Amino acid sequence: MQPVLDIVTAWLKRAAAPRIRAELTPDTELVVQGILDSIEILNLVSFLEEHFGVTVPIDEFIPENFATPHAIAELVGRLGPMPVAV
Amino acid sequence: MSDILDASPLIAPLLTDRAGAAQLAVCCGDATLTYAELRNAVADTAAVLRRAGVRPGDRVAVCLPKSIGALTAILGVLSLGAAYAPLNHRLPAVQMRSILADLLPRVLITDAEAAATLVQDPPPGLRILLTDAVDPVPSGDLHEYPGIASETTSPDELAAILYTSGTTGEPKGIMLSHENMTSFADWAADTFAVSAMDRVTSHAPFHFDLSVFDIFSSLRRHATLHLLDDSMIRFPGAVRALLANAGITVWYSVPTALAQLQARRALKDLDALRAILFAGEVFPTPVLRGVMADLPRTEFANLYGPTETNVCTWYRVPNPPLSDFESLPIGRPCPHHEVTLRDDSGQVVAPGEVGEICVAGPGVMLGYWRRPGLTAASRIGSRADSYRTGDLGCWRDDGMLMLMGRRDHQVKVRGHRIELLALETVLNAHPAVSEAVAVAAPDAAGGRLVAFLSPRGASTDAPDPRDFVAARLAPYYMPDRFEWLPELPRTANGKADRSALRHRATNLQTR
Repeated sequence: MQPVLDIVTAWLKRAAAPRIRAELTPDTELVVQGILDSIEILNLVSFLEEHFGVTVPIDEFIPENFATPHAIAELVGRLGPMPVAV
Repeated sequence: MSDILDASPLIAPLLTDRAGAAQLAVCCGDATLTYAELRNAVADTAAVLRRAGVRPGDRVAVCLPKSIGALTAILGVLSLGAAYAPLNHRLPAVQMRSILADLLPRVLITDAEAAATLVQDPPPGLRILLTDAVDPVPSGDLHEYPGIASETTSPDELAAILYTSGTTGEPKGIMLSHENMTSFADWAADTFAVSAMDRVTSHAPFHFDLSVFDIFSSLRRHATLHLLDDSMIRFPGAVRALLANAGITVWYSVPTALAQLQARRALKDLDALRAILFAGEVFPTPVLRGVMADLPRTEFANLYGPTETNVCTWYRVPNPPLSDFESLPIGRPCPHHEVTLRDDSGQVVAPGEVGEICVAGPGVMLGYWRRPGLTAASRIGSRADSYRTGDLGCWRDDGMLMLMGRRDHQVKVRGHRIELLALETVLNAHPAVSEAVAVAAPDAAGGRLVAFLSPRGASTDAPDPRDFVAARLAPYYMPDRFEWLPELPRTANGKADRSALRHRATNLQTR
């Protein structure tokens, strides 16, 4: 089973490829650097909810939780169950 | 400050009226300015701009992220009797250069990030006044690049130039006078009773015409303006926190922004929110009903008008709202506009007939910057304060105007004249559809119709969209394909990106 961080990073690399200027690390600033635009964020949340079976409540849908790949992985970990086997 | 009063009717009330000195004028994150502090920041900004060579009648480009610094830059430019041109901070360098070459500004006010993309190949004679957007007053650091920008005089009464990308992709600058902007800002402030008691959001970016209400209707009435900056605006949780914690009373945005918040239950129990205004695209009735159900005591209004006229008609949405199958009127003309429906020869059409929505009066733009031919072609005959919108409308018996689509969205598919908006209105009423966009793509067989749909919730027993269309429209309105997408692509302004979808439709067929 892949760790959450790897799955999130792989998704970001695919979805936001044109806006990623340098290598994507767990600490890359996604919001500050404009890597995640508004549509990407909604798509990302849909992906997280489907893939990991979590629900992102409105109070957690804030920039801090999406600031870096690491922050996103932490959010998923905090919200609930680990991924179902793919 | 008497020269300032003369130079800018648009901002005179906020610079000279002492009544609201201790009142909060603007908030952005943790940063705030009272009206007294705002006046000082604007005066200081004006002094920096004057030292940088800005004179009355000049044009100044402002390219900054949404921030207090961007607001004081705009007000500082106006206070000198110059005109501001707000540019999208995230614009690619190529487009930025093309706008600057068209605008020929005296100065570009921008931050180091945007400047870095321009300085590798700056337009001739460009002068950049560097600032950090978190600072309300530019540092005064002026960078000049060689070459001479040709002098082109702008009209004396010019207040702003708003750029839109024309259909050809070339930048098109819409010139707005002080009168254009004050007539709209004051009408809106009166109609929605904006006062010093209000806390108004600034949702739209400053380069989008909705910001004219946010900035000027608010500040002219001493309301408090809350800027939603570029990072928080994408996060429903952050927007919800602002709406609730600041006790926002008035909100103005495109419908999509409201639909996205509602989908995340971000609009529930916001008791202070007394008025929601929306404009810029059609609000699908079922989605609007969902928003209204979450905010039963809030007043809702549909505002209509292209950037060239700003808002020219408006409709107060009744409560309880319309049924799902009824589309939303764009309402009655605003009193500062004269609205007529005309045929291709410019004659007013008979009652009940569809015609092009034509607007005249003090709200209509001065013209397109440096495009007299395009300006003349947009007028009704030779009337200078008039504009043909390209939108089609029809008066209802009760005097309400209904939007019937775009002249250029009327497409011919296999010989039939099809109004794409009519098809979209039907699809938007489908219970499983959150948003529909229909496009026509050319092919050898006389064109094909493709409907792009984004899903709403998980409705399993919803009827087939095909049956839905068949039951409501003529047979030739049946799309050749229905394509479901998790989200429709968006333009920078948040509207559905029709040209991207047309492109996609064309590719679908050749696959």
